Amino acid sequence: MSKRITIDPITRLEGHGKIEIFLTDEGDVDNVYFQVPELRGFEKFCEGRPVEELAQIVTKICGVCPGCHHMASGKAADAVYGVEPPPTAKKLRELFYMAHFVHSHIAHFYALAAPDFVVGPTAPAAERNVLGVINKVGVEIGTEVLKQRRIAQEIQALLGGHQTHVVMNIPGGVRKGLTAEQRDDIVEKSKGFIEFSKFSLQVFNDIVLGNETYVDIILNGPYSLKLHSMGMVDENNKVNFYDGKVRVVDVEGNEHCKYAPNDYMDYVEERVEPWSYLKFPFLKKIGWKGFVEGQDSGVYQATPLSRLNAADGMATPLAQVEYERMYETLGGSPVHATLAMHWARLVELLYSAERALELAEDPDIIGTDLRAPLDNIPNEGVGIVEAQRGTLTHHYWTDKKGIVTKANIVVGTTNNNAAICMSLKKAAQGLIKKGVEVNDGILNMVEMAFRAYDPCFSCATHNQPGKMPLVVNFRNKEGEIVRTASRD
Amino acid sequence: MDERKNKVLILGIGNDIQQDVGIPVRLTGDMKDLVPGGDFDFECLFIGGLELLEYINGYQGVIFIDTIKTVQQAAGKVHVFTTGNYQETLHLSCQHDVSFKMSLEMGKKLGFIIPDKILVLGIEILEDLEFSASLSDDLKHRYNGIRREVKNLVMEFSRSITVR
Repeated sequence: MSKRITIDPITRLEGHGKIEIFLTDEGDVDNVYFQVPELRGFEKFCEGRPVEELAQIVTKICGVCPGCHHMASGKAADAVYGVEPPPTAKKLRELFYMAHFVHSHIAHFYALAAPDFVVGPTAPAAERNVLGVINKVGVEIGTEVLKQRRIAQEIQALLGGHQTHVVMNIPGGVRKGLTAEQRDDIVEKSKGFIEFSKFSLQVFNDIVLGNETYVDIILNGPYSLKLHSMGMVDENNKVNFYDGKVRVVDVEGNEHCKYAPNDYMDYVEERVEPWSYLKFPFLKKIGWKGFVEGQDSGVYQATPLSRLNAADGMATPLAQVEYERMYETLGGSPVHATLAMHWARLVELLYSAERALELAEDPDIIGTDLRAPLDNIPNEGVGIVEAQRGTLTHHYWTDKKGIVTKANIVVGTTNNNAAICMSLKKAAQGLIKKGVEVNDGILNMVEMAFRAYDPCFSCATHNQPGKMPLVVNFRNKEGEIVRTASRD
Repeated sequence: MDERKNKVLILGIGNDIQQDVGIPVRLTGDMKDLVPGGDFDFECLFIGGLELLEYINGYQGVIFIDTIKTVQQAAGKVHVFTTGNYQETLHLSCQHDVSFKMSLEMGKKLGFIIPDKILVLGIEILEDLEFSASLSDDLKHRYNGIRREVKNLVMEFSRSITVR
C-alpha cells in the first residue's frame, strides 16, 4: 500500500504542468496525478464589462484558439439580447470557424501527433519532432503544411478582422460582409484545403495504419478509456462545430442526453479537487463516482473522437466516407482508443474543408443583411461551440444595461480534465513497471496519453503561461521523490 | 518580400490585458515613435511557434520583445539573447506546435529567408498570472528606463547590420 501524500498546489512551477507518479513497494505505479497549478481568473476579469466587448476580450484568453472563444462569446451575447443573427451573418461566422479548424488541426497533426507515428514513439527526442517528420516525408510536404496553414489564417484575417484577435462578432451579427471577389478566392482556397486534407489522411493511412506496430499501439496499448462521449450535432445528429445541440452518448453508443445551450447546467456540473486549480466537470444525471471508467461513471470526454462518437455521421460527403472507414477499421462506434483521436482529427479536417467550400459557394455568403436589431433588454445567455479541443461554453449574466455581472466559461480541455488524469494513469501503469528502465522513450509514451487531447491549460485555467514544460516526479511509498524527469 | 530585405522587424509578443505580460506591446508601440521610420517594421503578436516564420521571413534582422521570468526576480531587467545563447522567453514557443528554435530550423529547411541576425529581448516580470490593462507598480516606475534601454539596443542592433 502506498502512503497518501498531499502535494501543495501553491508550489507552482512557473507554468509547468506537473505529473506526480506514486509507486508501490514493488515499484509499480499506484496512482498518477496530473496537476495544473495555474490560477484561473479570466471570468472575474470579464465582470463589469459591456457584454459586446467580451467577444474581443476573450480572444486574449489564449493565443491558440482565440476564434473559438470569439464564436462562443458572440453566440452568448446574441443569447443575452435574445436575438438570432441573419443567415448571412451566421454563415460568415461559420466560414471563419472552418478556416480556424483547418489551421489548428493541420498544426496539431503535423507538429504534435505526426512525430510520434512518423518518426516513432520511442525515437530519440532530438529526432521526434516536426523536423524529423519532414526528414521522413519530404521538404515539399513540410512546405505545403505551412502554406495551407497560412492560407487558412489569411481567410481568418479577412473574415475576422485579425487572424488572432478576432473582431468580427457583435451582438446579433457581424461587422462586415464579403465581396464576390473575396468569396471566389475563398472558394479556390477551400478546394485546396480539401485536397490537402485528403492527402493528410493518406499519410495517416500509409504511415500509421500501414504499420502493424502503430495499429497495435492504438488498439491494444494502454490508451483506451471507456467513457461517455460528448459533441455538438445538428438536427440530423451530424457533427457540427458552430451550431446545434450538445449530445452525449454512453460507452455503448446509446444517447445519454441531448441539450440546448441554455440547459447545460442541468446536465454538466463542475467539481473541485484540492490538488489542482482546474475543475473536473461530470455528467450530473449520473453523478461523480470518482476517476473511474464505464457506463456508470460520470466522467466524459469531449474530443475530436468524442464528437464523432456522439454523432451519427458527418454532414459532408468525403468526410462521411472517412468516418465510415475509421469506424469500420476500429470495430464500430463508439471507439475508446485514445490515440484514435488523431485519426478523428483528420476526418474533422476534411469536414472543415468541405464545409468551408459549401459555405463559400452558398449565395447567402455575400449577402448584406449582417445584423439583427437589438430590441430586447439584455439578461442572460449561453453560447456553445465545439472548440478544437472540446465543447466550449460561455455563459454570461448581465444587468439591464448589458454590463456583465457574472461569467462562466467551461473550456474544451476542462471537460477532459478527469479523462486526461485517467489516461495518464492507465498509460503509466501499463508502461512503468518494476524492472523497466524509465527512459525518455517510455516517458514520451506516457505523455502521448495526454497529448492526444491537445490540451490547452491556458484556456482551461483562463491564463496564458506561454509554454508548458512538463515535470514528472516519481515518488516512493513514503512520498519521497526518487526520480524527476522533465520536458522543456 | 523585397521590401523586407533591407529592414529590421520589431516584433512585440504579449497580451495587453495581462498586466506586465503586455509590456512588449507597449514597447513596440513606443518604438514606432522613437526609431527612424523606413528602416523598421513593427508587429505585435500573441503567438509563437510556426506562425512566427511567416512574419520574420525575408527580413534583414528581427528583434523580438517578449517577457521572461527568472530566479533573479529583477523586475524590469532587460535580458538580451541572440540565437547563439538563446533561452526560452514566455511566449516565443507555443505548446501547440513547435519551439522557436525548431521553427527557425524548419524555416531554413523549407527555404524561408530566415534573418541572419535575431535578437531576443526578454523584459523580466515578476507576475504573469494577473489580468489588467495596466502595468504593475514594479514596472510602471521602471518603464521609462526600460524603454530607453530597449531603444538603445534596437539602434545598436540596426547599426550592426548596416555595418556588415
